[in-house]
Amino acid sequence: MHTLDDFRYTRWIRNLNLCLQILLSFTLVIGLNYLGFKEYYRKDLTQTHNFSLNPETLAYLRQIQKPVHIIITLQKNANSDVAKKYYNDIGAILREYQYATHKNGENQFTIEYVNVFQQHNRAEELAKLYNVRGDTAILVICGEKYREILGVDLYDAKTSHFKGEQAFTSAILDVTANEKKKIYCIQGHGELNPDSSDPIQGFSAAMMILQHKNIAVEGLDLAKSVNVPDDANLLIVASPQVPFLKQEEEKLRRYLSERNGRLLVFLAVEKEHGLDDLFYDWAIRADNVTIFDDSSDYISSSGDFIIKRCEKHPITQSLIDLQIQLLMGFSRPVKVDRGAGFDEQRKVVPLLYTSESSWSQKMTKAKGNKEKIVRGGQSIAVCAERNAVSQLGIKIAGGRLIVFGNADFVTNSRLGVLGNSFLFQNAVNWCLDCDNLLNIPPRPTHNYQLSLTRKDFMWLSINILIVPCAVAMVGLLIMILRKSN
Amino acid sequence: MKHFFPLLRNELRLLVFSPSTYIAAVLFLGFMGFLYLFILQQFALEPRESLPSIDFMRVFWLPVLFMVPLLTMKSFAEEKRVGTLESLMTTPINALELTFAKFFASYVFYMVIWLSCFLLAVAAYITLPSNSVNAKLLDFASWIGGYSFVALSGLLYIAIGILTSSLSKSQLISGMLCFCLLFTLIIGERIIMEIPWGDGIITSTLEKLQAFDQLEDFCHGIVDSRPLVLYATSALFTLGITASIVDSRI
Repeated sequence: MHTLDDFRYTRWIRNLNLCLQILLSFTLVIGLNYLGFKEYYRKDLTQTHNFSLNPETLAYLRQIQKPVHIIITLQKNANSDVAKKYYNDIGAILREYQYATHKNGENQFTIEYVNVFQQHNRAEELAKLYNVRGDTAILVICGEKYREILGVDLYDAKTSHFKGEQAFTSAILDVTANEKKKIYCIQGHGELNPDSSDPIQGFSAAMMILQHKNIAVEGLDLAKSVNVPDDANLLIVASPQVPFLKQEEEKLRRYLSERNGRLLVFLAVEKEHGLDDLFYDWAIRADNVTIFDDSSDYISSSGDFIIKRCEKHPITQSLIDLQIQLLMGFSRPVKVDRGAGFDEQRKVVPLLYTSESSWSQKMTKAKGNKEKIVRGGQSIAVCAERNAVSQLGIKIAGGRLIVFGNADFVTNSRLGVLGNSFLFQNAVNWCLDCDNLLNIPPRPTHNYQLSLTRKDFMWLSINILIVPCAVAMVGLLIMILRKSN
Repeated sequence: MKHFFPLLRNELRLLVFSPSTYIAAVLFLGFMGFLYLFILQQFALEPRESLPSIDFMRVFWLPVLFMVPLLTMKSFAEEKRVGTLESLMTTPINALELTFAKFFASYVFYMVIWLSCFLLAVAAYITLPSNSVNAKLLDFASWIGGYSFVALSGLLYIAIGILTSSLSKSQLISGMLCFCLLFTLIIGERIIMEIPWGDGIITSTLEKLQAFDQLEDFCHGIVDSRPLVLYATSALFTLGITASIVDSRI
């Protein structure tokens, strides 16, 4: 008998044929899913499109050409409900970002969840590369640029609004921008040293924060340079000990007015700053007097002043929301100059106030006498901005200036205390337009609670029971009909 | 496939006239009613961020693990045990038609009893006083999304039940096998994800297969085409294998 006619061989060939069919079908399934996962479609069925990205975000994302990588060390199975909520909210919004950025089957937006408790090597790598530790880090990375998103960036104080879209879009725009933002620290007047780790004379900790935000920091001597460099996004004047020269002041004035520049000034007490004319232009007055306070509610055990009163502004909003106080040494009053000429394009807002029990007085060094001049709450920080008008008549952001009547809150010894670091970061963000660059509204996080009385619950149980009972009745009816037939 | 519809009609007629169908439906709805009542009670005790419909859909795996094996274990195993499958296959009906007919009959029943659960929400909505919070009991986006997921995942789960039923003459073995496979697919994946696989293809593949993650999106009213492709192709593949097994074992 021919081998192929043998039943054993026929069965063997049949089984082989079956296996091949299954194998080919399996590869087909894999292939279809590969394509299906590359080119996919999502639709938000909610009436108010609760989970869709804002058109502004979508417009920004369409312009992104570089791949963005997100690293999250939050844990899915975290013990705390807050961490789980963070994880779920972030996961949901990042899936929308992934969908919005996938082009031609390629995901420009990759997400990596790192379990720092299990993936020790990766955790060490992250600590080394990005200086992040712990299980709460969220990093947005593009090439060598990166930005860390903090918990405070994601929710408001009462966690009633999720600001994740704003935070992520802002971070993505930041890291994908071709130019790195640059801040110059003015030098030559005995200012705080940005490279020094000295607790009193250095503010390297503040510079470290800026570097984490992917901002380059350099020193600048105005007396030596012809003009403020073109790439300067912000100038910082931190505690000048001697007055600025007139020509230096003029350079700053031109930078602010003609180039829509940004200037952040931290004034030292009892020192002439030489910027009076510049401040007058911006309706700010910083007299050379010192503020004192004798209220125990506003003096810390170390003798520092506790600042609790903030005016509502993007710079102080997080302090108000989180009810965080500030700790500062002696300050000088910085006020809105009512005597400055009216300018409709200029907007000046006081930011921080001392307590009602405080007073300011001029220190007359020669005699050592203290002359009381003003009593009551004093403004110690003021921000001013001008709207520039484009050729088309559209108002665009112009120059911005913030003057603090205190410089020691940014020094290494005080930056980490209470809300000082928040204030510094918010001031820098405001100056660099990082706060209102996006007009993305935060999403409300709803809470639902039913009000059930005992009677309601009883009726609810009965009505819910009706559903299976109705099915049982239908079944019974069919059985009876069948038997009767 | 000309015999498919008569076969399906016959399978559905058997289901409609079978007392066990109603017993299963009553038990299922009773159990789901209890779960829904429990969820509503939790919402009365403390404020929660999700909706009752979302919490209700989140426990979809619990009835699936028990209902699908009970619903499908009889399909081929019983026919094999009593010997009717051989006689059926001597007719012009082919294995694929038969498999699809049994699959769709079970699937229709599966969906009908799941859809009946919406009546629980309607009952609660009618009972409770009308206000903005109670109106959310019938939040259509979450119900439609949740049901879309149940319908999609049901394709694969029922197909697995039909496959396991074709593997054995014993309904018990088929049922247990189905339970184990579904458990691995739904819960096991989650456990496997706990293993640090690194940032490779295994992790990304496992992440894409996570039923709970897909459910989260659907429950919140976001419909995604990826689970549609995944469950539809996997169900077709599983049914294809089932048809081959039925064909080869006769």
